[in-house]
Amino acid sequence: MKESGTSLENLLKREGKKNSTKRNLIINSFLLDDRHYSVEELHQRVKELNPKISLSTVYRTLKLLTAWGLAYERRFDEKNIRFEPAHQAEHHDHLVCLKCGEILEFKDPRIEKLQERVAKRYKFAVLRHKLELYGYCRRCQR
Amino acid sequence: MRRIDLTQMKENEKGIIVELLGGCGFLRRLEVLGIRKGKEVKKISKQVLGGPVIIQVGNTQVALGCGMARKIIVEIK
Ligand SMILES: [Zn+2]
Ligand SMILES: [Zn+2]
Repeated sequence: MKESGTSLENLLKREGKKNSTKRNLIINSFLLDDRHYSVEELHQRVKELNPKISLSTVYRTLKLLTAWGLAYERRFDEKNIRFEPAHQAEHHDHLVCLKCGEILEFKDPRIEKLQERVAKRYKFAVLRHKLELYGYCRRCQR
Repeated sequence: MRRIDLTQMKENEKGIIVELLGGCGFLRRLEVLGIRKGKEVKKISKQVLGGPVIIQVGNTQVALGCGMARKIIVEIK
């Protein structure tokens, strides 16, 4: 069967990389979940399936996915770097827990509207924005 | 014919993907892994509540997060 140009095999071929079961495992685990993984968390997850996978392989694979536009690297602060799978291509904002690092997504049309109003008031042409609320998640408040 | 999402499939049940409920980023991710409309999927194991769903597409088995599994609609004969 002919594979489409965007298949994983084709993407890897273009990079001059061979199919590797370890890399495929990392890619599958990441792309088929909707979580914001840190490199360490994803490493933990895939190690359960294959203990031989190293942290640096996970990191390199995430960088590859980022280059292909299948993941976004988000730096919430110096110590909290997360990779987010490309999803809706829809804009959303984040709630960031300072204790456990959990990241929740939210979208509120009222906030979006309000920002437009603020920009208008200052005659500012907005291209993009990033809204992050920092604090403690439900679990960490206990 | 029944239309259900992947979380509602029973163990060993087979279905054809008829709908993918997500934006273009979501579709691209699935496309890369060969998960697209018209493909046959087989549910491999019952999932623990909120845990991943394991399916077989072609000759590969993949584990999907619960949220994603709900966005993939299949038709069961
Ligand atoms: Zn926003
Ligand atoms: Zn927390």
